[in-house]
Amino acid sequence: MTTTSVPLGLFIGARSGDKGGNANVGLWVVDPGEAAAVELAHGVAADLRSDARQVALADARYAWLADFVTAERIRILLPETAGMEIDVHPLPNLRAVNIVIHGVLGRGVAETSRIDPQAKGLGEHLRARLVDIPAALLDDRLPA
Amino acid sequence: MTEPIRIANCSGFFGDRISAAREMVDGGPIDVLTGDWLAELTMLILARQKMKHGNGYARTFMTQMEQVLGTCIDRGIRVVSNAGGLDPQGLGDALAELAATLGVPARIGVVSGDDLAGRVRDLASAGEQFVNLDTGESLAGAGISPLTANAYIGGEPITAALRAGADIVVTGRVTDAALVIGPAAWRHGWDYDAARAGDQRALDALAGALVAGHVIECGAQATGGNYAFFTEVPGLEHPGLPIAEVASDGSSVITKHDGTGGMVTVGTVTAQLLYEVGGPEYLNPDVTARFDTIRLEQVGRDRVLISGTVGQAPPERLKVAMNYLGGFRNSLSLVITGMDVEAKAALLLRTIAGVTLEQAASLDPVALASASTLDVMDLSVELQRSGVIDPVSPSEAQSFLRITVKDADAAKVGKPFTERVIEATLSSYPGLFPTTPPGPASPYGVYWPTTVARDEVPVEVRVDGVLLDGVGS
Repeated sequence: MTTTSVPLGLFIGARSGDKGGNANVGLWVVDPGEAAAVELAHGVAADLRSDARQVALADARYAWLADFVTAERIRILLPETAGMEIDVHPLPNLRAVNIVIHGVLGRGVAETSRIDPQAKGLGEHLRARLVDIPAALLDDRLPA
Repeated sequence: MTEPIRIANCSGFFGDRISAAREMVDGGPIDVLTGDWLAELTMLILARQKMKHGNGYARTFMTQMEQVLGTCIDRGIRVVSNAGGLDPQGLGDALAELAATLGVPARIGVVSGDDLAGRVRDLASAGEQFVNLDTGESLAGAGISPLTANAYIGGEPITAALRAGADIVVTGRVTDAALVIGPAAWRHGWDYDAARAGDQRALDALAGALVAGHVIECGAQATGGNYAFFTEVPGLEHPGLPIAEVASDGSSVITKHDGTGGMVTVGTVTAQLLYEVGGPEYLNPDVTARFDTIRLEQVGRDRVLISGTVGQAPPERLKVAMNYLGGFRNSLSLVITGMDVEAKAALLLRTIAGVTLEQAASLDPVALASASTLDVMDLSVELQRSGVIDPVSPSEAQSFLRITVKDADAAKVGKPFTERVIEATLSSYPGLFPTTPPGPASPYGVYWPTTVARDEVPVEVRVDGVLLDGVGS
């Protein structure tokens, strides 16, 4: 299988935030209907009916993501989380994975010395990391 | 079957867009205007405000009500907000005064009882341990007396206030999503007792509203704000805020007013579903929603259907957010320009704190403080290596060393700390300067998440000052 090194954020979205001293990062695979929804939002006519090939590609991307995201790998991609307890919760219905990092924010937003005390940027940091991705998952013109 | 109820959000935090209430009321049809003002930290901010000014509610909400109250009453738009903060009755009184001044016949509902700050000691002697959900410590064991302590209340008291005829309902610490559950249950006649008895339809309806509430509680975060694929979002300079059209079965359509910026897609809704969540069970005092059952579907331009959400019994105990004064802190950031970044940082750290760069990188802040020559409880050091090789612009040449100290004694983290750093400016590494002038110590709060038995939270609902009977939490 050919792999290629690209930023995780190429087809994976992320949103991060705080809960006391813990941070969470939700990662999701771009929905197969997203391109049409965006067209509509711009006032351009688009077909919202699902495209089997796009669905298959999104499913393949999610299978890769769910396998890829482990506590161990997060500790490597975000070295500031080394040694921290990390939970990974798959949400296949949303093609998403939620990552909870315990203690990364000390004892909460008011107390932590972290430059980003609410972990607002943690998701964007993760998206910017280069990861090895099967090349077939990148080209949405190819059948998955 | 009742028609869906259109519930708009006009605030995601204390400090969000002031014009948003006006925009949501004028921008198109809505049935309810809601807003969230209370983050974990906000309670601490309001506590300090209460000490200084005597009122502990979000005053920006009053500014917004001055703009829209008359229109809301005219059009029958209900208003539901947790801007009451630490002083919901104070906000209710201020609103009644405003209504009288404007000559508007508004009935004001107030939900209170969440504030446990004055009862923590009594509750502790009655057996409440207030165990920290993150660390497992008990409150007494840590020897802490919190400045704020608020139980998270659900949507049921809000529903009760609306059923009793309130036009505006203001609350203290209710869950953010309760602001949507409350009016949805009111419109559709959902039965909290049936949900408590395990009726699946009632649980699913409440769970659906909980999910809708979670999606719109953070304002523009559901409509393209703070969004990974922001370059795809039209009009993000001024996104419209979200609306949840909640149907009688609890399913909802997330949308926004026509002609506003931003967008509502499966992507923007997914992003917000994942904001500040943990495992697949999303807890609320009224119901637990299974996030692994939610289905999303784009059903039109800026319209996303949320369906399928399964509800479960809510947790037995209520979550409580406590904040206590942790002590005082101070920070200085020093610029390190050009080469030898580590050597420059190491020299400065040896000079002002007697520690090595290796110690600073490996020790926790308490251990680093005790290894240092600084008389503080807590010392943390962050070296931001942002300078590049062969820098062309000044910013490419700059790295930053950020030093933060904390102590129970404000004096120790004031001048004794900043003077040591400033005194080194002519005698340390070449090019040393701080990003800002040295400042005084500032107090910081510590968050203590815990729980309390429901019975210990006597929720009270008043409409125009009259106490309603028998309202649950």
